[in-house]
Amino acid sequence: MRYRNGSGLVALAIGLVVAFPAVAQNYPGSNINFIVPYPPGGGTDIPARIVVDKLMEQTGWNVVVLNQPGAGGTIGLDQLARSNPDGLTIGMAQTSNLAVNPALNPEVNYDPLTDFTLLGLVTTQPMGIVTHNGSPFETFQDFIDEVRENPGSVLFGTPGTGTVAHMSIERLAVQGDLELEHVPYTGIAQAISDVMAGVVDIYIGSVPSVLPHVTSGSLRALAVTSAQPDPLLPDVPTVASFGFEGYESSDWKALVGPAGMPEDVLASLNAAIAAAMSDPELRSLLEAQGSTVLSGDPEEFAAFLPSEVQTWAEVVDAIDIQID
Amino acid sequence: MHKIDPDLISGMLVALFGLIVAIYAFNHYPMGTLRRMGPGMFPVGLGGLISCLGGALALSALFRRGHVAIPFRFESRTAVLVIVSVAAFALLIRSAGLVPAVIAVVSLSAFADKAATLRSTLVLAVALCALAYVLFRLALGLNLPLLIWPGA
Amino acid sequence: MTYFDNIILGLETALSLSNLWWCFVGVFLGTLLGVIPGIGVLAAISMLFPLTFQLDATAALIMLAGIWYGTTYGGSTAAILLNVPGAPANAITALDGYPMSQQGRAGVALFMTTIASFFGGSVGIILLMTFSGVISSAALQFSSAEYFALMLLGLVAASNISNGSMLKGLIMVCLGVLFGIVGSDIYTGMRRFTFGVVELADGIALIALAMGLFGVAEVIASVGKVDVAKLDPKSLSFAAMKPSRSEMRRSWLPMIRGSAVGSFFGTLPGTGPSIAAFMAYAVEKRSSKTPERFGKGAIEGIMAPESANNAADQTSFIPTLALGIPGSATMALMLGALMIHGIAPGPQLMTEQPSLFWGLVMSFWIGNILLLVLNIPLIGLWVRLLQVPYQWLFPAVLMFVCIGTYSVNNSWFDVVLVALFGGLGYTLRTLGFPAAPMLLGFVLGPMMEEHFRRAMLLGRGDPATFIERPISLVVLLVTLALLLWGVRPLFSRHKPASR
Repeated sequence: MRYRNGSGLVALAIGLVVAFPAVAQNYPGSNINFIVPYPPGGGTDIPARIVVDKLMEQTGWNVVVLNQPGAGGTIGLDQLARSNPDGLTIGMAQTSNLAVNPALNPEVNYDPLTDFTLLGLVTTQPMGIVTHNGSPFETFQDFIDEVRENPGSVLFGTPGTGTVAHMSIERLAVQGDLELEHVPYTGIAQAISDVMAGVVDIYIGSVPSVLPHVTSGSLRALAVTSAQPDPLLPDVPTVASFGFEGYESSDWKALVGPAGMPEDVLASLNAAIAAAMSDPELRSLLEAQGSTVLSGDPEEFAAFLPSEVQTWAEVVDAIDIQID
Repeated sequence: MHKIDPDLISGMLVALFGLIVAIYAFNHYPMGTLRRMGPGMFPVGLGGLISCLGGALALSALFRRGHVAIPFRFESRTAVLVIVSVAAFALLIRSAGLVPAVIAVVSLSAFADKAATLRSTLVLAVALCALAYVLFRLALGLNLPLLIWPGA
Repeated sequence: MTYFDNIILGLETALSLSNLWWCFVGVFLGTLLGVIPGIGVLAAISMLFPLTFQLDATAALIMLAGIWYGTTYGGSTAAILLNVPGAPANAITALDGYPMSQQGRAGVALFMTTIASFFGGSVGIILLMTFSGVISSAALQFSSAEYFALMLLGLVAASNISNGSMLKGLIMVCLGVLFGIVGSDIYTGMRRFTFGVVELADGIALIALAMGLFGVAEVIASVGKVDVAKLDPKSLSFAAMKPSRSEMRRSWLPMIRGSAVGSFFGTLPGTGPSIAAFMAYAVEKRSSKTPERFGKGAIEGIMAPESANNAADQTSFIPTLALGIPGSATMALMLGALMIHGIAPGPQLMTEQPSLFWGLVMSFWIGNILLLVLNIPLIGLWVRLLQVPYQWLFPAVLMFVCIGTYSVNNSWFDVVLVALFGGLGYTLRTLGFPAAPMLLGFVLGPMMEEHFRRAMLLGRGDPATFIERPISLVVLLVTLALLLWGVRPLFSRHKPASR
């Protein structure tokens, strides 16, 4: 076993016994490990490092980023869920490994709603649905009409099977009873190149990944998946505005810790996170990544997660896909 | 002593392995259609190909005069010690930290060379621990705990 | 602004004191990381990533890029001296570099690979400076049918990459492909051959396979057999690094061909320096009049791959900078560094940020010159490494392999795989199976499957898609020609007896 469960219990017991404010002032007392369940340089790693950098600057704590990639981000998150809830291990989770994968993948051992202390949402990014500039689809409605007329005729590229982008499309298909031909890619490079060349008709990906090509005119944005238009693409309508009521799908990042963290430690962490998240420099760094910056408020997160988990579970049920 | 051509044995083993791969893939992964191929199609074909190549190797050994020269002998003592030393590192790096893991890989593997003595091995282990510390922790700033006390 | 003005602007930017300093930091760290087996460039870049928040965008990119191409310079050192590649992209260099070292020509090999690296890097930079636009729009023509055809060409071209039985080489290619497809299926997410091991869900790590197959297997094979290299003090002198006249003569064409092959593969998303190096070696061996010298210390066998992987390093910036399409995780990180500074990557980058684009490109020249200056004096030092008794050296090599592999993914399981592949690699080696084709199959195989299946999906199930697309058709015809040419000796004359 890689995890020292016994020692975790001991630490928990100690944490409960000595839960005085005086101890909180001693928090963290040593390095805080920050688990990023994805490889360095990825879409989760960069915002994580921006947040960690600001936390260290403001609090003087020593926070160490540990990249623990594997199995779609579930290995690192699983490790996080099992670590000592002493506040010395926290990390960054996101839509895919916290909300989608537990429904999609029976091998995931954690429960997103009970195994974590929800610290706060950091950013959210909608996805953009795009086509090439010579495409017959001038609007999102043109595309929907074509799919309804000729089911299965439209080739739909995504950055990968089981990604939030792919699941968003499945959700669209379920809600609108559409038949799409899914063409998964491995990452954005080849996918963007193929949609530009018109090899696939439609592509869905994070707004920042398609934005430069929309700006330069080689891709045409048809819709965004957020509830409100995205500030980066203010003129592009939302999917919901085409009769997909309540449709909203986004790639969010959030800070989490293992369940059962002592109150005082949690209070220091929450205060530090709130301070970091309201810092203008941090907000502008995150916005430069094409994200909408959120508050980092734990209550907001706690209110948001259950419905998110449920929505994705329903999509997974409806499409009969299973990763095993 | 009459020796069997090693190519005959390895060819047959490879052929058997390929067959197992193909059968396993066929039984476990859907084949799909030509348009939307399933996860099984490629491994089944690959297993079959491996099997054929292995068979060809075995046959070529059968119909060959003399034996193919083996480049060198299998040194089981060296192989076992080196492999175990690497595996020991893998098991210790998480649970015990960098220093015990380095000591394990260095001291176990050092005995693969018959000339190694206890003293020389210890000196080497200590020196390499220091080198690992300076290079990986100080110079490259890797986040590797030096020593994790059990139960801590 | 004219082209010339751009170059001047770039030079001014790159030669500013702070940019010069960060360029040096980048290439120095890169070389160091390259020499150490296992440590990945991606890990190094991401560790330094937070540092770039404080730098301006140009300096940040200059440093990160310096690490990227610096690694490939240093990676050949361990491959030549110890037969343990510093990075997978240098594995192929060991095939001829290590024999050269055993023949007492380590100095020459290290010197010439540095020259080849510089040459390949320079060709890549020139292409980046002149043909970015053309090349990136040409790369857009490549879809899955073309990629499949290319991968097939690669496997056929490389089937004789190692000496000895072609049948055994093919078996190793196929076994490599099999190891390559372990993990989640790209199309359905179904896990193949993982046997319930969660760590295998993302597949076998390239670094684990490469370090096991080349690092650990090599150590096992050498323990007790390698003595202190017969190294006379003369071989450490500067004169000993000088290649002979005939070696110089035989190095030019491989360098040019290697740079061409490398530049091509660098621009294609998904492929990279490793594939470039393999292909360059295969092309060189195919086109050589004396292919039997390969694997025994032929200088062509180190010049071609080392110029190819460095050229690929530079040209991989073409799709990244000219189109905003990052071809690899490392390139995605570079774009991340740009976005942090509020610069949108994309086709407009060259015109909107001329000082950044040209400053970066000109810094590549400076970085490559720095690497040349940095590496040549170090050769003497590296060669002295051979004087360390092997019984002291190999535990250190194993330690580096372990720590390096571990640090790439922070995965103890990857180190277990190193041990397993070490055992497998050694066993196969004693039976006369060559290791290099397995690595090639491992890299190319999964891409071949991915592109074949996608091409069939895009072609709506009609295999004619492969011959209807002109580029794909041409590549397939070349493959066929190569295949026929390859089996020709089987019919015309008897094969030379194996070993």
